[in-house]
This record gives sequence, C-alpha cells and structure tokens, in this order.
Amino acid sequence: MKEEKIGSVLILGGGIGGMQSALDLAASGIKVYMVEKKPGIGGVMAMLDKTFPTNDCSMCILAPRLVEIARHKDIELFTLTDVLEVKGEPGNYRVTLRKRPRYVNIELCTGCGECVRVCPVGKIKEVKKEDAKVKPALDEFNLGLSTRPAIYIFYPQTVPNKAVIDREACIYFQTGKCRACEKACPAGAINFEDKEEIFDINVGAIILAPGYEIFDPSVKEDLGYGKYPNVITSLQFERILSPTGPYGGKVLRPSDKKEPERIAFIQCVGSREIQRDYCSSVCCMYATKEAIIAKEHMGETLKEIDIYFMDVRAFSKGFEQYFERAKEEGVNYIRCRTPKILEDPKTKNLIIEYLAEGDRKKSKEYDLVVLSVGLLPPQDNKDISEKFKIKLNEFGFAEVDFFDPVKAKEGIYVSGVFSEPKDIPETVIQASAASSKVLTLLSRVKGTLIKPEEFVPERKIEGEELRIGVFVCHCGTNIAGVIDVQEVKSYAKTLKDVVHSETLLYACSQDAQERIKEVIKEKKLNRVVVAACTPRTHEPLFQNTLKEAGLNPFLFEFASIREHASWVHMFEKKKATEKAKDVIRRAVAKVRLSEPLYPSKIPVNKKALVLGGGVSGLVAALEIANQGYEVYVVEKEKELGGNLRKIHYLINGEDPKKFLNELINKVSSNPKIKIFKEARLETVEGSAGNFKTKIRVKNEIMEIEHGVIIVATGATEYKPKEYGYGRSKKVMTQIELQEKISNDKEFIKDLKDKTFVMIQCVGSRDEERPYCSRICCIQAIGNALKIKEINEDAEVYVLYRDIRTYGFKEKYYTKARQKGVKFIRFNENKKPEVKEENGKLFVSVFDEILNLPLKIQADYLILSTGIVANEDAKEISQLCKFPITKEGFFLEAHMKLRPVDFATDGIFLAGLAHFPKTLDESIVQAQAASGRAGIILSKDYIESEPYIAVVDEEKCSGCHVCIGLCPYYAISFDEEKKVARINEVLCKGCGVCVGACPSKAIKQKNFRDDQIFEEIKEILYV
Amino acid sequence: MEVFSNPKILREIKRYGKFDVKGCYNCGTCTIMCNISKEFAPFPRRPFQYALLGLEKNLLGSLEAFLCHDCGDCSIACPREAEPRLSMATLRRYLISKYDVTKVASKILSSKLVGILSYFIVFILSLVLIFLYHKLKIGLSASDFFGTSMPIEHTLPEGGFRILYGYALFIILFPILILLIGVIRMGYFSFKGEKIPFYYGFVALYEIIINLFTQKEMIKCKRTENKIRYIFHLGMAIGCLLMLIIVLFLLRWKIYTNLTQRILGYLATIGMLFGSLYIIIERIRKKGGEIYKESEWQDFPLPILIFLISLSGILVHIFRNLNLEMLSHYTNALHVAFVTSFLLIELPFGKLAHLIYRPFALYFYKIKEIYYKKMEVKS
Repeated sequence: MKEEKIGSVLILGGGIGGMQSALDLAASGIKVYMVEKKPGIGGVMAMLDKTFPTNDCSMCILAPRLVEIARHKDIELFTLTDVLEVKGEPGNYRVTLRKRPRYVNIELCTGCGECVRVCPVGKIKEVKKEDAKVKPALDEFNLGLSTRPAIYIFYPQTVPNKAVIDREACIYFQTGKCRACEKACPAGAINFEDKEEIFDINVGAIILAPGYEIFDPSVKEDLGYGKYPNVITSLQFERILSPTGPYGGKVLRPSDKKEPERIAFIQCVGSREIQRDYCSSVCCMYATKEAIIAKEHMGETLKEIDIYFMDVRAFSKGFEQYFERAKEEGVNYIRCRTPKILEDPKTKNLIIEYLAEGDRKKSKEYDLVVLSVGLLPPQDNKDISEKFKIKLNEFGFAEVDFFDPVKAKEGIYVSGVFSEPKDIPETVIQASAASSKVLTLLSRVKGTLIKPEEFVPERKIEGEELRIGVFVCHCGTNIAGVIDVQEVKSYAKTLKDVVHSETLLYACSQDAQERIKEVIKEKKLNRVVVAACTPRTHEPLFQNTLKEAGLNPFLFEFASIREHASWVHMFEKKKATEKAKDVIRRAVAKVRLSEPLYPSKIPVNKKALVLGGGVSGLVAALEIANQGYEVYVVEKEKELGGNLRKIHYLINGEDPKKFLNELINKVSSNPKIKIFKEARLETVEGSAGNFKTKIRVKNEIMEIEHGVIIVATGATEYKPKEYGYGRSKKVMTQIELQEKISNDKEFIKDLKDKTFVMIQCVGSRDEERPYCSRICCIQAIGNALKIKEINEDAEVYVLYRDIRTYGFKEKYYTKARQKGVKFIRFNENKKPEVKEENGKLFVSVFDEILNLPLKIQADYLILSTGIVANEDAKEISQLCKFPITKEGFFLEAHMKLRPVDFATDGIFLAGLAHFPKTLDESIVQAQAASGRAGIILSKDYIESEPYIAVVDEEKCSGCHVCIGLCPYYAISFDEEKKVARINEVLCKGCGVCVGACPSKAIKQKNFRDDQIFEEIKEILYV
Repeated sequence: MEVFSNPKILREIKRYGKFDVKGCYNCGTCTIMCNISKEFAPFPRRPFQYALLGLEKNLLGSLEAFLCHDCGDCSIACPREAEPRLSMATLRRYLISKYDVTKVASKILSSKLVGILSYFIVFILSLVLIFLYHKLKIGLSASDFFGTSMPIEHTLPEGGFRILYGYALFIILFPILILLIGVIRMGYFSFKGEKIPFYYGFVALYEIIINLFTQKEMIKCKRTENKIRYIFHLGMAIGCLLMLIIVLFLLRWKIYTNLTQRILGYLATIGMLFGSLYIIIERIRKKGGEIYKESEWQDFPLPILIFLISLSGILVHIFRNLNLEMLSHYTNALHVAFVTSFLLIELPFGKLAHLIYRPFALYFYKIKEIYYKKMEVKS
C-alpha cells in the first residue's frame, strides 16, 4: 500500500532560489525545511554589492526576504547541516540530516556581537611563523580579503543572526586555553561541548537549490592569480565594492591598499573553453555592473576601466541598454581574450597584452585586474547526485527534463545555477516553478502541517498619550557614511512626543526587528518612525514588526533618509544631515495623526484566467488545473499553440511538435480547463481574488469571474524591411528557412555547394529596438547545423555582432564552428550590404580581424529577425492595468526578485509577452506564474488595501465628479442617499477622488488633509 | 577593394593535412601567446581567418605561415584546443604546393601514397643509374680507391668525371631552380599592390643570411623544450649546409688541407646525425613537448633522409679507412641514392622547402616592416 503523502518540503540550499521556493510554499500551506551547509542563508546574492541592470542594492532587496524567512512560522531552518541519506518515493521521503556543531546555543544567542569583539584571534594582525597554532582566520564571506575572529557572525544581516565558532581558528580548541567568548557572552550561549546531531525529517517533495562554485583561476598559471596580489576575482571585487566588504566600500587594491587608477576586467575566465564548453551567462553583465559601480565610487580617481571580452552577452531585459550606458559612462570594451598577465615586480602593477585593430599586439598597464570567473557546479554535485539519485550532465550540472525544466525526476526539483548557469531572475523563476511542481504533487495535503497563525492581540491605544519611537538606520555606510546618524538620533529625541530614539546598523535585519519589538513593549510606544532606505521595499517589514509587538501596523511612518538624503546629497554631508532631520520631523508630524486601520477580508474566487493559448498559456493552465483549480483560457486565434506552431525542430534535437500536440491534448481533455478560441479581452474589473472579466468570443460577450490572471499573450517575429526582404525569394527569415527545411523536399535535395548567408540582429539592437532578442543566435546556429547535417557540402556564413549562446547553448556554437560554419563579425556602424547582380546575390561585409572588406556570393540570404511586441500589447496593459516598457513588453514588479509578478496583485506574467526567450524558459516562467498564482488561490481570503478613500456622507453633495475620474471604477452613486459610495475592494487608494472632490468630502485613510498639512508645515518650519 | 570569399579553398587546404579549427572562435589567444608573431604580419589568427574564409590571394601573399617556427605555444594556450600549430604547418604545405609551378609538390604533399612512392622511385632510379654507370662505363670490379676522397673518382674513365659532375650539378641545381621560382612567386603575391621602393630590398638583405645561419627566431619561442630543439635543429641545418659546401667546393678544389676538411666533415656529420636522430626519436616518442606531440607523415622524410645520408656517408668513410672496398662501394651507392631523393624530392617539394622559403619570408617581411614603419612615422 502506498503511504500517505506528506505536506512538507525539503529545500537544499538557502540562496535566493531556495528562499523564493521556501516563501512561495510556506505561503501556500506547505511546511518548509531549509537545509544550508553554511552558518547562515543568503547565498551568493548576499555577497553582492549591487544588482544589474537596475543597480539595486543587493542586500537591500534581499534583507526583507531573509527577515521574512527568519520569522516565518512554517519555515524551519537547519544551518551547518548536510544531507546524509534520502529514502522513500515522491510524496513521502525520509531524509537523514547531520547538523555540525556551532558551539553556540542558537536559542540563547542574541547576535549582540560581544563575543566577536573579545575574541583574541580577531586582534592578531600578522603571523610570524608559518606553522603557528593561532592564526587569524580568513573571512570566507569576504573571500579571504580580510580576517575575522574565531567566533564570528557570518555577515551582518545573516539569518539566523547568531554567532558561530570556527574550530580550526579557535585558540581554545587548538591550545586548550582561552574561553574569552564564554566569559563575555551575556546570554550564556557559548557551548564548547556542542556535538554534531543526526536526525530524520519526513517530507513530501524535495527542491535542490545548492547554487554553485566559482572557478578557481589559480589553475591558469599565466593569469597569475594567487601569485600577483593585485589580480583578484570578480566576486572579491564585488566584496571590495560593498560597504560591508574588506575595505568598507572603498575601492582599494590588495597589495598596497591604494586606490587603483586603471582597472581591467578579463572575461570568460574558466568559461567557454574546451574543458568547460559553456557560457556562465552572468559574467558580462556583472563585469559591466562592477565597472559602472567602481566608476560611481571613485569618480575622477578612476582614469581607465577596460573590459577584455569575446562577445558581450547582454541578452536579457534591459541588459543591452545597460551595456550601452556603461559605454557612455566611459567603460571601455576591448574585444580580445587575453590569456596572460605579467607583473611589474617593483610596482606590483600588471601588464596585459591584447590584440588591437588589425591584429596588432599592444600592451597596457593596470593597477588592478579583475578576473570574471565562471560558474561551476557545486563542489558536492556528485554527492548530491548519488544521494538524491539524480543525473548530472556532461559538465556536472543537474540534468533536467527540457520540457519540464525544473524536474530532475518525479518528486525532486531543481532550481538555480545547479541546473545551468543563470542570473537571479531566472533562478527566482525556476524557484517559483519548482514551488508549483511541489504544490501539484502535494495538492491534497496542503495545509496539513502548518502552524495556525499566531495571533498577537492588538493593544488598544485609544486614550493613550502619544509615545513615539524613532529608529535611525545606518544602512551600513549607505546612510551613516554621509549622515551623522548619532546627531540625527539625538535630534529626533528632542521632537515633541518622541520618547525614544536610537540607531540601528541595519534596521531591516532580524535582530533589529527583535530590538524594535522590545523597545515598543518596554517604552509603551504607540507610534513608530523608522528613518531608513525606502518604504517601497521595507515598509511592510516594519509594519509586520509592529503587528508582532501588538501594535496596529498603520501606526508606522517611514522617513526615507537614504533615498531622500544620503544618496542624493552624497557630497554635502552637513546638509544631508540637516535634511535627514527635516525628513524625520515630517514623519513624526504625520505619525502623530495616524490612526489604526483594519483592512477588510475578501473571499477568493478560486479560478484562474489565462490570457493566451500559446505554449506559456497552456503550460500555466495545465499547472494550475493540476494544483486543483479551474482555469479559463482565452486565445485570440482559431488554434492553440501560438508561435510554437511555426517551429519544427530545436537545436538540441528535441521534438517541439510532439510536445505541443501532447500539451494541447492534455489541456483540451482536462475537465478543469475551459478554452475560448477566437476570443478577445473586452474589460477587466475587480482585483486580486475577485476579478470580473468580459470577453468577446466571436461575436458573443461573456462574463467570467476568477481570482487571478496569467498574462501569456506572447509576441511576434519582426517582419524585416531590410536587405531586400520581400523583393527576392532568396531572402527569408530564420522561421521561413525552418519551414523550407522541414517541408520543401526540392530545397533539401539541392543543398550541395549552396551558400547560405545569415545576418544577425535584424530588427534588434538598433535605435528603434534597442534590445537583444535573445534567441536569434541560437536559432541561426540551429538552422546552420541542420543545413550542415543534411548536406556537409553546403556553406553557411553567419554575419554577427556578438554571438550570444549563453549557458549550455555555447556547445552548439562550438559545434557549428567545428562543422565549418563561417562566422564573421561586423561592426554595428558597418552593417553588411546586399546587392543583386545578374540574378546573383552578393553580400558585402567588413571583417574586423583582417581589416578587409569581403564579398560573398549567396544563394540564400537568411535574416535573423528579432522578436517584437504584439500590436495589442498596449491595449491589454491598459485593460488589466499594468505597466509596459517602451519596447512594448510587459513590465514585471521587480526585474530581479519579482520576475513573474505585476505590481498589481493577482496578475502574473509568462512567456514572450515579458521578453524574448527560449521554449524551455517560457515553460518554466509559465510554471512559475502558476506557482505564484497558487499562493492566492490556496487562500480562502485575502486582505484588502487599507489605505482606501472614504466618503463623508455629511459633506458629499452628490456632484458625480469623482465617479467619472476613478481609474479603477470603484465609485458608484447611492441613489437612495444621493451620495458617492466607494467599493473597498476596488479602491487602490490612488487619491484622485480625494483631490477632485469640490466639497472635500472624500478622505484617504492615513493620508488625510490634516496630516499632509501638518507634514508640510513641519518640513517648512512654519 | 572587396575581396571575394571562396569557401572551397578550405577544402583544398585540408588536403595537405590537418586544418581542424575545432570550433575556433577568433579569440586571439594564439596570436598573443606567440612570441614571434610580427607587428605587421600577426599569426596564427590572421592566416587562419584567410584560410577559413577562403581568401586565396591574401593567403598566397601572406608570409605568416613561414614566419611561424612551429613551437606550439599557441596550441598549449588555445581555449578550444584547436591546435593552431598543426594548421600552420598545413598552411605551409599548401603554400609550398602553390608556389611550386610544376605542381609536383601538390601531388606529393597531399597524398601519403604518392609522396612516399616518389621518394622511393627516385631512390631506386638513382641506384639503377649508379648500377648502369658502373656496368657501362667502368666495370663492376673497381679496385684500389683507398686513400682518395671519393671512391668513384679514382676509377674515372675518360669523360666519366663530366657525367658524374653533371649528375651532381643537376640534383643540386634542379631544386634550387624550383625554389627560386617559388620564392619569386611568393614575393610577387606578397608585394602585389604594395608601393615599396626597390632599394628596400638591399637594405634588408642581411636578414636572409642571418636567419639562414642562426635561426635566431626560434630562440624566442617561449618554452624550454624549444631551446633544446633549437640546438638540434640548428646543428642539423648547419651540418647540412656545411656538408653541402664541403662536398661542392672544398673536395673539388682542395682549398683546405685534408685535416681541416676532415674536422669540418666530422662536425657536419655530428650535427646532421644527432640532429636528425633527435628529431626522429622525439617525433615517435611524442613526449618532448607540444612540438612533437603530434606529427604528420610529411614531417618524417626530412629527418629520416638526413639521418640515412649522414649515416651512410660516415659509414663509407669508416669502411674506406678499414679497407673494406666493396662494402664502402655499395654503401656509397646507397648514400648517393639517398642524397638524390633528398635533393630532388624533399628539398623542392617536401618539408625542406622551408629552408629557402623561411629566410626569404623573413627577408620579405623585413622589407615591409621597414617600409610600413617609415610610413607610420610620416603619417
């Protein structure tokens, strides 16, 4: 008999991928066990300074999630823990774990850092003898660029925020004497007797997100890493840029701690070579980012910053524009793979030889060289593969099903770099997709293992005197580096009704939340102001803290002293400090008048609407149906399948036709899915949990009700105007070529000695469409290989700007080169030209390596056309009320961490409508959207927006002005009372009606006129 | 002027050996790692690109292939293990064939069977000629040639000297003529369209002599195995040249005393014998570093012939001194046959052609370099 399924999941790895899955699943009613081998979670993202292409502070967007995980009642964290054994089957696994000793009692430790300060190891600066027993320990988090004590906190925002002892470095463990930390610890948390623990947990499913290892460049002797002090890795440079890094955010070089005036980056170190024939996908962009940030940090001091590269792979949303911006800001890109670095032993400067125009060797001297190291599979990949019985591919990464890209096998899912090198958003997408797979597998046992919500009774504050607390955040050096936070803190204390003020290193960290709660209780605060970064990302976090302290979360006000003061007035420290005071005074003034708010609960309609019947839409529909909910699919064409119908074969040999037919069959035969073909969206009303949508099916209008929307409306192939397309039959697009290869037998027979010339970036990366269409290189190489496969004697030229075969697609590029496909790079300013002479096509192109204009006779000219947004994209975005980019692709809530969400709750995004992408990427994004939608659908109620507008019926004259203005159709007219009435669910709190009401009858909760006037008065010292 | 890309050229090049670019993505690593790549004639990447894209005329005019000294620094560093060294060697064979107006080199270098057969046929033919010469002119039982420098001369009948000398002159002058035409063609392709004044040719003339006798370029190749290789290669090359001078001039006109002749002869023999033996062993052993890791059949006739020539030569000398008349006679016949095969096939049509093409390539390059530098200064 089969055992009962278990409503819990094991997540291996606490990086951003594991964290996303944990939060998704815990929110959907699955108990989460997160296993991390390091002392804290956060992964590599915690080590990054900024993220591309938005230059968001990495820690600032990560920290709220770290905190959420730390405080989530249904996420149990095992750090310093390894998996020993896995038994069982999908739905029911028994996993044996081993927890290594931390030597600190996690229950007692408060993370105060007293132990860290007294540890004598931290005070050793240098060791005289090589074999000394007591040595300063290298800080792993700063990748050996700094030292740390033997007892330490992994990094300031780490979760759990607890100390850990490094046995190898600890004087007590090495010599038997010391125990200084034990004496210093106020909580009595140090436990030298700590032993490893072995225990079992039962889970229904497993998600593997163990991340990656970075390539160790010391094996490439010619680069001198480990020999020359000023050759560092890109991750080390990331730490140098970070305010929590080894030099406090100052860009210095290791040998003499001087500011480098000339920095070089070398790309593809450990990537794109015969031993690792794949592209690490992220290095081009992180190098670009690090270059931009270094310039920002150093200003005029940094004279030169060069990036040595082969192809710039800026293939995702906003990347091409970011790359262009870097060039404008003076980052210099040099197209050459440089294999060796020489050091001037006197100055410790480094010399790089490279090939300039006309293949002429030149050399340049630098103060610092950064190696852009590639991504390797995790060190314990073989161990993981054996224990979980999953396959690894030729490069040692986890092998997954191409058409189900997070599935290693039934019950075991993979996200992040473990299955292929990838960027943060793709990792997050995969993590949510893995969540969706788990939700499907465990749909019947959802909610069985979670703790009931802890209800902290709310303190009634009516009649209490105002007691305001102000917390001023250092934000590392982001704020404290500019603003005198101590002065600001003291100033805040002088404001009326402020009974407490203090500073916090990172107000968003877990220990800070505990501290705030403590103070609220201790000082009986009834209003709280946090002066920190921005309410945009961090307000919910602090509101939650208030809630946990028994205070209504709306008695909170944010003072943005980072965004409004320290960042914008970086070079005017005095004035910035004064401005911070103003901003805080304003916040205090407002919070004085804030009232407790109580959002209403709205029941959730557990049905989904999927817009688009292409592969993304169909996958999403099937996923949601498998999770157990009903789905409506709306497709504008007569047939399902979208763009995939035009695809006959894939570069990796998989059969897209078979997949599509099976998918359509599964969707069509699923009783939970209802399909509307030739249907168009008419109107969308309502909000998350409760949408009412009108669609026009042929000529009939239908109304459907549903709780979520998945937008998978796709995109289209660009129809070129360039290169004589349409005038000659010999000129066609890649998709048309594929059609010919697949269906035109005459064409195939006649391939011998025919010459194909392919031109890349047609309709992409130009002024009109300044983005990379991501898939055209892969498409061109796929077709070129197909031609060569059919007839080796056919010649194929690919004229390109950069070949962007990221990830494992690189091997097809290699294969194409091996098969004799000729690749010629052209400069964007010297595009190829096509001429027809005597019925023959001639393509002219300037070869930059040879410095020669070339002429090729082409039998066929194939244009690699880009992907453009659908014509109706704008209309859909207006109907559903979500933003759209200049290029016509839909704009997600956050490029890094919320890649399938819209800013509008309840609407999710998948497929080409988001940005050009490959088939497997569309599938996984559709699964992710389903996973995210599953969170809402799994709930019976969702809470409405609290900051809504209310009508004072006494004052309302019934003039109707507001009704016509409301963008959300939330206001109706009460014929009986002759007043306006606002629907609480639909109101988004935008304030349009408030401003427009001639009789001042509408007020917005906690944004009342009296509050705003008070704020203005305070900020102007009136 | 636009250059026409003919994709079929690559197929032709591949007939001369490995030109397996193994996914080369034009990264430039090979050229950077090469210590002897020239400012105005960078390699291996540039000639590679010519070959890949089938730019025949540019390829014929490119000196790069002969500027390369085959050390393999490029192959070690190549991130795609595309073995640029082997491809450069193939390019040299292609060019030797292209510069040869008789088209014989093309047949020999592109086919192992034709190649090896032609060495054998010439070898057998020359044995037959020697046999016929003895049979018809002087009789097979020659005797008493002890103490003379050349065993055959001693018994020369009337006119015999002229026949012999004519034979020697033919096997020497034929390859020189072929190679001279080749060099002229090389220069023609290389200088076509350039406006370099004629006198630059005199300014750079020293380059040929220096390179012919010092092979100084080879010392610049980075890895240590190249230094050992340099010594043996130089020993072999100087040995050959020295022996050529001894045989052609010294023995005939007795400019030097016997002793000097002997010492010079011994030195040349040592250079040839050990140089060639070292190369043969390393090529078979495949462990002497990148240069010897992989060889093609065209690499073998040269060291094998030199080894056989020097071995047979010294054996004749020894046998003669030991009064082993007939044995030295027969050995000498073999010696002459080896030399004939060496001079008629290997030198004009085989790998040895680089002996002439390389110094001339360096010389032509020098002319260009001086000119280009001057032009750059001007502009």
